[in-house]
Amino acid sequence: MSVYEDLSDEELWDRSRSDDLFDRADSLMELGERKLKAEDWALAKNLFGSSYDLYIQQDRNAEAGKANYSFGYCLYSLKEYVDALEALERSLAIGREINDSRVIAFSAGPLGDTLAALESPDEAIEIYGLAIDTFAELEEFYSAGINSLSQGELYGVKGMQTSSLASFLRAYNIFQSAGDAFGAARAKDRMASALIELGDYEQALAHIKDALATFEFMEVEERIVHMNYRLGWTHVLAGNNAKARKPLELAVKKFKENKDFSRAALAELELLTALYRLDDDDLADELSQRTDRIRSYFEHAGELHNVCYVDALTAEKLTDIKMFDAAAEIYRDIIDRATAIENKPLIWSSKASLAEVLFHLGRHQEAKEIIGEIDAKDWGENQPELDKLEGVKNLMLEKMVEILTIIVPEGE
Amino acid sequence: MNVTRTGRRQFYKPMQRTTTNPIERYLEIKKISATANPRNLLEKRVR
Repeated sequence: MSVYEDLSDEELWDRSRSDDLFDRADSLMELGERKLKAEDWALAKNLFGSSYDLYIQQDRNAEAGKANYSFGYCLYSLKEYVDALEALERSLAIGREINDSRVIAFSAGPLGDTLAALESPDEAIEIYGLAIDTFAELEEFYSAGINSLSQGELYGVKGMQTSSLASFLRAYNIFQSAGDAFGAARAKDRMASALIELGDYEQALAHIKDALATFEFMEVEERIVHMNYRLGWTHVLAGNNAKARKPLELAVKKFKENKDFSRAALAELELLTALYRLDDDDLADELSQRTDRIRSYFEHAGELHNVCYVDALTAEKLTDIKMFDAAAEIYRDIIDRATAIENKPLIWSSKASLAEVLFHLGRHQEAKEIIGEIDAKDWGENQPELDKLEGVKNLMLEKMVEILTIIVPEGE
Repeated sequence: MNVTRTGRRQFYKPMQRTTTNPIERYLEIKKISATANPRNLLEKRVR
């Protein structure tokens, strides 16, 4: 930046009281940046606020824009989203007024994050679009790529997986063109997520393997472990249970070594699912003990949604051995918990499962009502969940035919 | 029969995973270009 970078904190504090207002503003700005790096958001925020006022007095618009978006970023980090929104919208307006791409880009990025935090995904998606374009224009490829990843996540959450894939692909291309292999591999992993929800496991697996190979080549331990978990998990989703075993065993071991117990438990849940589906009777007791253990871990850690996913596996086992009553009870419990934690996809998916077991129990009316509560449109383009819903609806038709064939002979 | 498994979603809220701090971004660019520069990768391959 400038000479200010080489000054000590003490010298900067001295200069921040200088009679030279120009010097004072720049010193406050440099101190703000240092506090920002140290994640002292509250102090950084005040420093940026003071330098902003001085810059405005001095008509230094570009600097004022920078102080203002940094101020807004601090508010965002302090989770003061409403104030952050106001500040960042203001700095974006300044950027547009003085036609400064840097101010626009660096305001738009955190503004997108703030809008996402305030649950305004549509506006966030739009602002991320502006951030991506402007960062790309500035050849700030890393930032352009990161914003493109964030945009893809929001499309994904909204169930717009095709758009999500397009955003992740754009991120991939941006990272590739900048020679950023790490970012490109990260984008590939996210592309796999969109493909999984589009039901294309084959392509998803190819991208995950590519990403894993890149991280292995770069020797990024944390990412290697994570991608093994992703690989195993995706194999489970694709029904390749035997192939899931090795990567998941590795992920569980490494997550535990790194004391990342939550992810270790999640990887273990996927591993237990694969082992259960491989149907090895000798393992049955061990599997149920391990399932209990990870369930109680999630419960103690307060991770209710993960408790639900463990319970869903138990319900699946009960369904397989035709203990439909017990399975229905678990699904009802999951729906209650999911409602409490406002996890909508979990509610919809569990309702489909509950309807399935109710049809098996012959409680058709109740099952039909539950099916009626699920709106397929909510799933957007999530093919596996749409297929599941379709499967349950087909089961409903089968059951209706069964009833009809019973009634018809009676009528004769 | 159809096993209707209840799966986890694949997506996250952006704020859980991105850094938008402009300064951190600069640092990360420096950090990444040191390790992930294609030229570095090429050198590594040659070695």
